[in-house]
Amino acid sequence: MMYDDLSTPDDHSDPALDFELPRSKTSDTGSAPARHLPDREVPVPNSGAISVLHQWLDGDVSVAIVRASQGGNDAVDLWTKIHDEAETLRSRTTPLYVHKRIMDSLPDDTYRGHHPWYKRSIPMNPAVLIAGAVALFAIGVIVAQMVLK
Amino acid sequence: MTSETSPVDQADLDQEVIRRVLNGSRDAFELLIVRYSDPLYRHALGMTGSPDVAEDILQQSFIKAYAHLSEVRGRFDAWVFRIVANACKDWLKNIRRSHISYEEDDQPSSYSTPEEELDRNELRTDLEVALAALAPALREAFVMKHVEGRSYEEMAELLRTTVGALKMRVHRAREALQHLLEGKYA
Repeated sequence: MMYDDLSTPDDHSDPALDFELPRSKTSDTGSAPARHLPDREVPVPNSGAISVLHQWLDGDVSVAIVRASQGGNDAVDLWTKIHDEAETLRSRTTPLYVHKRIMDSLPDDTYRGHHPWYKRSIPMNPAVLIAGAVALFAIGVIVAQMVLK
Repeated sequence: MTSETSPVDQADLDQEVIRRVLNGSRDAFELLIVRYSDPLYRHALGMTGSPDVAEDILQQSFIKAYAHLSEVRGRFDAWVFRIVANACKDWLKNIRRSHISYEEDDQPSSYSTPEEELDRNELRTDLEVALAALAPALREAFVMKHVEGRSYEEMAELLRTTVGALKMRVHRAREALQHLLEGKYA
């Protein structure tokens, strides 16, 4: 059986844990100032059952062990519902239009100067083809005039 | 399935794409968007509860990643994840919300009966309200563990912290959620 390692020094100095204690809607007095969790472990009621619950949720013990603990059935039912909801979220994918929206919002010239102009690819479209043909024709005319002189 | 790409191969492929983008191939960046948008979108959705906000965060994060692509050291997926994760935490710290915004969701329903859908919508709403009461760091740890299904080791690598600290955050998040939800659902 694997137990959670909750005794490492950083557990007691986690800078990310500066937060307000979530308050239940039913037990909220409405006038008490926001309490901050102390940066240390505090005793909680029925901690044995909670510990077993965490071990089950971390995949370390079977559900039967949790159900055998005090209040275990209720906890298993609640977390099964939460897991079903999490499973729904886990199947979500990015809407396809978001890909296009991101590409359309990228700047065109961020990395254009990172390589010489003669190595860049030229997009082929009717305007580029017409411009190329006009340029070739003009060069041909100039060369022809030089030869005929 | 043997055709799956290993993380090392994936990192090499990412580096090749990054090299192409830095050489001026803007369109190559779409390969990175397609490859990583889904897990990043799910993280943003789990953190904010709003599809619209998740899409905006994803867009801004990829624009930022594109602008700073030459600064990538190591794995691109971990680097861009941290951009999204920080954007989500900034949003949570700045926003003051009174209720969730899943009603914006237009994904098709997968529930068999209207009653079941109603029950699940109620749970979804209550769960989102409970998640919104958590500190951003606790919500982040809970979403990564239970919504994204990541291991503690993977979470520690992505968030650059220790497994012990993350276990503590996940445990505190679970206890807070249980405290908030057990009266109604247990």
